[in-house]
Amino acid sequence: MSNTSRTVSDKELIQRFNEGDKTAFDTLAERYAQKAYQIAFGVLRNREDAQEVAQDAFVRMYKALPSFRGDAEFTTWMYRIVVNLSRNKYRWKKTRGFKRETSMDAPIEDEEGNRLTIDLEEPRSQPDEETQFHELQDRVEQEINNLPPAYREALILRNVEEMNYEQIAEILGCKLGTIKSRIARAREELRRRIEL
Amino acid sequence: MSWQDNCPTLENLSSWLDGQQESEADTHDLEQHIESCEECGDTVKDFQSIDQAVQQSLAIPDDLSEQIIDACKAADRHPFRLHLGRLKRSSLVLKWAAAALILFSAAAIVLTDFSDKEPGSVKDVATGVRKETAEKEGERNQKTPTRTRKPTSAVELQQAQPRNAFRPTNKEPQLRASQKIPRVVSHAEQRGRYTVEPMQPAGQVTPESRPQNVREKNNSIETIKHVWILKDYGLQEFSKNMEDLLPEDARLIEHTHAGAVEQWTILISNEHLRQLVEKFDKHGLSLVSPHEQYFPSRQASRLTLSDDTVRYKVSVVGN
Repeated sequence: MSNTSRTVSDKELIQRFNEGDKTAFDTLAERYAQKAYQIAFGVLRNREDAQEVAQDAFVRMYKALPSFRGDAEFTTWMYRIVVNLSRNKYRWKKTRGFKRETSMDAPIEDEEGNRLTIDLEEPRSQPDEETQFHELQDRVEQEINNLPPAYREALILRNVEEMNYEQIAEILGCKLGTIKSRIARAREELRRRIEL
Repeated sequence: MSWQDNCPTLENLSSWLDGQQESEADTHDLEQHIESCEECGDTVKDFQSIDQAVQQSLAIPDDLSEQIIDACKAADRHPFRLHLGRLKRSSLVLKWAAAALILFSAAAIVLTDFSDKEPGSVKDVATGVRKETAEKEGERNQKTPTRTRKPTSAVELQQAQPRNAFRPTNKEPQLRASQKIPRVVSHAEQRGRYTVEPMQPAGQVTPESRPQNVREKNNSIETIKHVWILKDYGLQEFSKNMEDLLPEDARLIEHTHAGAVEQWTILISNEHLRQLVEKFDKHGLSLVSPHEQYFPSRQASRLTLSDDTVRYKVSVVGN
């Protein structure tokens, strides 16, 4: 991303777009596409779906930008669209049944969801920090799918752009206290599940 | 609040980690407590590790921005375009669309049944179901000869059309919803498949002759409706050659497509439209109006008219 594009404010870009300079939207897309994708992915946990939602959100914004009144920040408006589309997609997939994508190294579970493990001999050397972190990352990726969607949304919004609780509350349409509680519970639930 | 004696709640630890404490005093007290309490310190460390892992899991595809910008530009060029790729990926969408269409058609048939059973309707007279009522209605019509009754069913409306109804008129008659739904839907369903039968043998159709033939083969026309939504008949390949098919003096104004229907707005003379119809027939395609696709007398609907040139909006449905 170029420095010049960063110096121009969102408001100015929107104004330029509404005056007919369509390239102004490209700058907005470059600026926020990744964040939109990350939020969608955080909620949906599926790369293809997240990409589709991010794309859909920007196409909608492209069409609706002339009617954007600017009462809220552009980012708040954008994240709200992304979250709503992600929720729709999530519900739609839930009703038709998720096609679970299982990675080759995912733990094998029995019918009741208990992990089947094989006791191996203790490795001689302790794994290094990087390996440990990768293991943690894998487990978080698996377990985040099992979080209630409301917890997941709040935690993802917090982690994508380190939004403050007020912004998250505005995007999700909740009270500040609710967000505070959801983020804490999401973290605690993950901690409990991955047995940290 | 002092945390010296009691450990703070997980909510407080979590919000402290995010720098979202309500007051600086709270923040300071918590900080002191976390430094001195091993358990709370571990909890905060775990939360930090989880956050890092979450952030790391949100990897971004390389060409995401470019894809999104391209999609926006495409949407600008084709505002009504559907994302066919998505539809193709999810055959379930098509299945649902098909199911909805069948249900809708079934409901419409029921409605048409009721609307057709008005006293004196063509159907009643033909079948003799309500002969007596029809006679009374006939008498009443004789008493008021100056007042013509508006056609109430699709069949009546078709019969009310002049034989050269293919020629565009300034005002297209509006059909009620019940009239627009063809009875033949159930017939097509009974056959267990949805097909489009060519309206005429290839190469033998002229616009003038079409309305007459269409009336004779009413059922065939009406089944087109299903194919409109249900099937993709490889029109993409055809649409590539659309410009080649157009006569020299015809001009392509607009090209859009939604689902299996390709739609062109063409500036074309009446004479060349006839030639175009013949070409379409050779390709096994049929011209139907985008608005009244079930109604046989309008294969193309006129938008503007000058002395010898008519602008037609034409939809093509494959068979």
